[in-house]
Amino acid sequence: MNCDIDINQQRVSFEIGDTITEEAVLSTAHVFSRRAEVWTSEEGVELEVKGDSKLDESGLKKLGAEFLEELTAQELRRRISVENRSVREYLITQALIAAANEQGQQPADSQLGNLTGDQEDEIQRLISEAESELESKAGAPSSGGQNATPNGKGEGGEGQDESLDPKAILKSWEEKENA
Amino acid sequence: MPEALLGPLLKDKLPETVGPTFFRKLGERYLLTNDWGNHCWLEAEEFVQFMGGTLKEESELWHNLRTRGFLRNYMSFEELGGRWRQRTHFLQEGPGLHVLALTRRSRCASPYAAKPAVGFEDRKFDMTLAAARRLAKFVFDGPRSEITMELRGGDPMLNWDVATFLVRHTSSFAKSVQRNFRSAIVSPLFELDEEKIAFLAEHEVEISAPLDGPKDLHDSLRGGLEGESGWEKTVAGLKDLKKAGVPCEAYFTVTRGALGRAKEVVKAYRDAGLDSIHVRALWPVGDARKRWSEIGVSAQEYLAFYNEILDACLALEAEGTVFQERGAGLLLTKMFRGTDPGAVEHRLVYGGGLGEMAYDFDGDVYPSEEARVYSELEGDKLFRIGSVDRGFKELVGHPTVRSLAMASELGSQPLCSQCVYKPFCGVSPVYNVAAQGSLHGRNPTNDRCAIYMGMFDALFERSRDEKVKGLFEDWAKSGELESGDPTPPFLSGGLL
Repeated sequence: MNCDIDINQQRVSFEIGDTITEEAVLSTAHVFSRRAEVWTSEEGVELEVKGDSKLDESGLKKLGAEFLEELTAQELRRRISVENRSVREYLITQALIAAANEQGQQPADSQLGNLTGDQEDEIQRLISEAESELESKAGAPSSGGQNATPNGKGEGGEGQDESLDPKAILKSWEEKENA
Repeated sequence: MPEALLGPLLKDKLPETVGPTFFRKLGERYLLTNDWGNHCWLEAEEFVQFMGGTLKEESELWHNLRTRGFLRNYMSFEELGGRWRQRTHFLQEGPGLHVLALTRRSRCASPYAAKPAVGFEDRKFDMTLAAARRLAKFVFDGPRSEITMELRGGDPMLNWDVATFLVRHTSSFAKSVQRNFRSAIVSPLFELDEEKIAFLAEHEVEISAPLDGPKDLHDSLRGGLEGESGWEKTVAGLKDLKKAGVPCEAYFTVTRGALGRAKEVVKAYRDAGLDSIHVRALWPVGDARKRWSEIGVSAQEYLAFYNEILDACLALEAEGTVFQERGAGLLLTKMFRGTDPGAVEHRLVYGGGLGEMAYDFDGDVYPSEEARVYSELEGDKLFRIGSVDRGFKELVGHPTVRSLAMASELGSQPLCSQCVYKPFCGVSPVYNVAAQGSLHGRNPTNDRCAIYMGMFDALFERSRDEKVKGLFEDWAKSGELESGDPTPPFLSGGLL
C-alpha cells in the first residue's frame, strides 16, 4: 500500500482509486469513527488517529491497511445492495402481500368481538367473580393496603371512576398532563 | 492481503449471479448470510470466484449457494418469500408479551438501584386490584391468540394478592376465550414460602430470579436491605421451586466483579440446581450509570467474559451435562432454525409496542419493559404512551411506537442495513437513548452493537467445529416456537 505517514501529526494518507464511491468512504469512516478522524479530498483520504495513544510508523501503516480493506469491503457491499435492491424489494413485497392474504383468510374467532354466546357468559361469570373478590378484599385489609378504599369499596369500579381513582389511572395521558 | 484480494473485483461490474448477500471475513474465511436467514462459509478463493462471477456452475459450492438463495439467477421467490414470512411472522401479529410491574418495592438491592427508591412499607407504589383487573382484561384486547403475562417489580411477590388475582383470573379468562396463555414472575425470591410455592406449582407459573454467581459477588450487588444475604435467599428459593416442580431459571448481569470468574459463576449456577444461565449486559442507567467506573464493563471485557462462559457451558455439555446459555440459544434459533424465538429485541423492527407492552404499577403503559424501567430509574417519561383507557389500537399506533419502529428498522440503519448479522439481530432504541442520548444509535461506538457482533462472531466461529455445531443445533431447536405457542417469558430486553 502506498501511503504518506506523518508520525508527529499521527496521520496516514493515501490515494483511493476511482472504483471507490464516496458512499463507501463515508461508511468506512463511520466504522472507523472510534479510532480515527477521516478527511477526504480529491486526491484521497487522510486518517488522523484519535485518542491519547500514539502509533509508530508500522501502527499507522497497519491502520491505513485496515481502512483500505474495510473500504474495499464496503464498496463491494454497496454494489451488492444497489444491484439487488429491486429483487429484494419485490420478494419482500410479495411475502408481505401473501401474509396479508393469509391474515384475511383466518377465521375471526380469535377476536374478542366474535365470541360465542357461551364464551360471553363465561366472561360475564369471571367478571362477576372478580368483582365480588374485589369487594371482599376491600372489606378486609390485605397486604396490598392501598387496594382498599376508606369507604369500603374497590377502586376504579365502573361508573365510579372519579371518586375511586385517586391516581387517575383511568384518565388518558393527555388528560393527566393537560396536553 | 485482503485488499489486494478483493480490490480487483471492483474493476468490473458486479456479476449478475451475485444475489442479495451480506458478508464478513472471520479468520481466513468469509461468512455469507442473506435476508432469508441462510448462511454459508466460503474460503477466500471461493469468495473471490463468487464475487467475480467465475464460480464453476454445477459445482458443490454452486449448488449450496443456489439452494440458499445467494445466486440471483436461481432464486426461488416462492420458497424464499415463505422463509422470510416465517422469520418475520411477528410483523402480522400484535403484542403477545405483557409485562406488569406490580410494585416498586423490594427487599434487596440491584445493580440499578443500590437502595430501592421507595420505602419498604410504602404501599402506594403497589398496583391496586382495580388496576390489575383492568389490565387482566386489556391484555386480551389485541388480536394475538397467544398471550404471555410476566409479572415484575420491584419484587412482585410483595404484592402477592394482586399477583395471585392476575394469574388466576387471566388464565381462566384465557381459557374462556380460547387463547394460549403463559404466566411468569421475575423475583429475587425473598418472599417465597410454602403457600406461594404451592400456588406457583398449581398454576404452572414460570420463575426467573437474578443470580449474580458466587455469594460474595451476588451479595455485593443484590444484598438484602437489612444486611442479610440475598444469595442465600435466592438460591434457597430456586432449590425449593425446583423441588416443587416449578419451572425456574436465573439470569446473570455482567459487572466488573465478575470478570475472570466465569467458571465460578457456572459452578454457582450448577450448585443452585440450574441447567441454564442467561447472561445479560449491564445498561448505563440509574445507579449503574452513576457507578459505571466501579461496576460497569466495556464491550470488549463483556465479550471476553461471555466467551469464557460459553466455553464453560460447552465443556459441561461435552461431559454430558446439559447446561445452556439462554442468550446464545435465542440467537442460535434464528441462525440455524430460520424461525423467530420470540425475543422482542432481536427483530427486524424493535418489538416495543408491536410485540410487547409493559404496564407500570399505576396503570401507565410503555412499549416495552426496558422503556418502563428506563423511565422508573431515570425519571424520564419519554417512552410513556398513556394508559389502557386509550384503547389497544391507539396505544399500538401511538407516535412513540411508530418512532421506535422507524428508528430501529434495520434496513434504514447505517451499517446494520449491510451487516452480515442483520438477518438475526435487532436494535433497541431504548438502549440507544440510555447510552447515546438518541433513538438512532451510533453503531461504531455503541456497546450493544459491539456485544452482539462479538456474540455472533463467537457462535459462528465455534459452529465450524462439527461437534459444537451439533450441540448448537440442539440449543437452537430447544428455543424454537411451535405454531400457537405463547412468547417465552424472560426474553424482553435488559435492565434486570
